[in-house]
Amino acid sequence: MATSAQSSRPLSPHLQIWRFTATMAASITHRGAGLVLYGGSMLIALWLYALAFSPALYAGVAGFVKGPIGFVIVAGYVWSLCFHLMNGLRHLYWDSGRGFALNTARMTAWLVYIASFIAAAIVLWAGYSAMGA
Amino acid sequence: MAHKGTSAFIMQRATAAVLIPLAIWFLVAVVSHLGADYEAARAWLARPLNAGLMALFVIIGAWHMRIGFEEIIADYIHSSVRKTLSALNWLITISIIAGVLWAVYNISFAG
Repeated sequence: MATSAQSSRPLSPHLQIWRFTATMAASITHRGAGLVLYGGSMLIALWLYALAFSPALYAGVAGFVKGPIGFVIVAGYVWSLCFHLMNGLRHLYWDSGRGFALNTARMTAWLVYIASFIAAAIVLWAGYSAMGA
Repeated sequence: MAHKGTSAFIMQRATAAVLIPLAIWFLVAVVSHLGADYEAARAWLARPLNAGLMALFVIIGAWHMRIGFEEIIADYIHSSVRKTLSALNWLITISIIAGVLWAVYNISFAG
């Protein structure tokens, strides 16, 4: 029930009103990656459940991971984890009261995008090439 | 989340800090076992260090994710759906934690 007292409270600005900048993109991506990791946590729980209680379900999951859709899901999770981890370091650095200068914030935003793609690519390459062997 | 802002803020940072080494471990360890067959994966997770780190990663991660999702709800949802989403958030978090603890316990002690 939305009473008038509740509905008159301020709402965060919605996503579509911002002019594009690297810092704004990183902020939105941080939340988006967080949501992907939320879903990923449920899949990891399912994977562990299968490993504990159902060899048949585990075989299904392991087979799915090797397929194209499985790869997209694993890659999405891995990149999201890399991004959220690295951008999280940025947030913790901000919590110390540093790193807010516009050029610094812009540079670290780009750095996080580039480094997270490289890290995710390495992890996925290592994971999937070991799997084929 | 009313009147819980400060503790949520602190817990979000504390869990984030602990998750840094755990997430790196997870990326390296789990991705290197991506295609492992059932017996190999069980044997790997049955080792106490791996079981402990896996449980910690998922439990602390689930707590961190609950706080983050609560923040998104508080920012963007102002209707009556808010309470439902918040309850669902708790339910999913508790389910993940309970399910993972149960699974890891079974793998560790079922031989």
